[in-house]
Amino acid sequence: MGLKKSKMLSLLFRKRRLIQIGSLIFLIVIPLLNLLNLEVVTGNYYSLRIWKIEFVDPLFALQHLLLTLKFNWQLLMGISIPLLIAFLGGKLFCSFICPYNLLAEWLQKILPAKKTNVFKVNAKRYWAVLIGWIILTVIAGFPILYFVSMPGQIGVFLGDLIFLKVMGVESLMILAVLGIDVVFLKRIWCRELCPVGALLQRFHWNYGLKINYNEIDCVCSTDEIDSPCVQRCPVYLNPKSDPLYPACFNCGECVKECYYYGEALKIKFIKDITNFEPNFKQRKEEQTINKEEA
Amino acid sequence: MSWFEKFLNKVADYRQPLRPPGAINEKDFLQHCIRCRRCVEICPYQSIKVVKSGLGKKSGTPVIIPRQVPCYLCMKCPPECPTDALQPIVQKEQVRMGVAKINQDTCLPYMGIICRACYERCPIYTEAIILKDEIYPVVVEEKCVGCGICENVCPNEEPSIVVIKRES
Repeated sequence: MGLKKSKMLSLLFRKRRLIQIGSLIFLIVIPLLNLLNLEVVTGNYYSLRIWKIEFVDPLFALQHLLLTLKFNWQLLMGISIPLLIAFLGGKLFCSFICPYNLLAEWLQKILPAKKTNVFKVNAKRYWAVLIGWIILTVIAGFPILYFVSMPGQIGVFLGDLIFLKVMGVESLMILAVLGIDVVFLKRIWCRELCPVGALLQRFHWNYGLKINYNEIDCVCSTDEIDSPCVQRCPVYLNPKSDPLYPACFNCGECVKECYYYGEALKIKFIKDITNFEPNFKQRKEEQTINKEEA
Repeated sequence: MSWFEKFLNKVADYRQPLRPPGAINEKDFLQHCIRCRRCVEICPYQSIKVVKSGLGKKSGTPVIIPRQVPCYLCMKCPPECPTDALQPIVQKEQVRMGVAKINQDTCLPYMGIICRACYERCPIYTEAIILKDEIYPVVVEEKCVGCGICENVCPNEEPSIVVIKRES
């Protein structure tokens, strides 16, 4: 059983780019189907209906709750599946479904940034940004995060273009964020600022799917920046010495890379969190001792 | 003066946007609607358009522009709405999107030309628009649903019957 589960997981992560492209094509197919008056599926990543199953972005359900102070059963039903996925797997939405991440990863390949000067993610700052966004909504008095929710914004851009053949100025937000984020700020949007991912990460279970680093197996641990896993990470995290969460979105790229170098990194459900955090701390302590000795 | 009026209409959109059937009042609607476009995409007639006002408060909300395509009251959009911005109503008689107003200065029957375009197309037939003296169309405001079909079919270049959003 255990073997079967791990095989399923590895297949899922190997086919990540395929799922991402599928998700982008899905956004194009929905308005095309609707143009033909086929009503099997409507919406985009703000709110989606496939046959009779509802999906709602938890961020928008939260904004709706804060702005109207009313519980809505349809919204609660809609957020249940996204929250279940977030509970088990963290920000899997970001790494597998979000079309913004796909575009950013492609742009990154064209314009590779240098590895230096990426400031480390601070968990407190991460949650503070999310609270800031939510306060902004309450001040604005309408779901203002509509403009900065990139997966939805890309969806409505494609939907409006194909279904109504119109374009809006707000779609320039996609280009602006994509350009500034990838070219100048090294994916800070996905790492720290995006409210959609931050809210999903809030529901990530401590024992859920996480990247696990086992130092004993690591064969290239002497080299910090040039390690294959660090080079591969799309959001410029260091799986060997940074605390990955809450910034990591479990794309499994470092794990795939590490497969060829001793399999020190694994993505799996954590059984013992006491073993999880100290890995980093222990390593940091050893580093300082080594420095002192040198 | 007409160019000036057109200019003013463009700048200030003096008419409140007409929302899809079942919409709650405008202030609450802007808070409830999550701008997901599901009502837009489910509409088989493409009646529902999207407000494109940049980063404004109304940007991304659904709107019906009767002169382009009116609402044919198929009632597919209210159940599609994931929030309660559109109340799930089923009967077209319950819709209160707006109310039609007739401009008697330009309406053809009032000028002596026989025209029954709006009267004959009204989906609440013989109830929402009645013919006074069998000639002059009159809107019964309690029955009018505000679908905009009358505005759409009005043969005048500037429609003599327009739908104004209900204020509730």
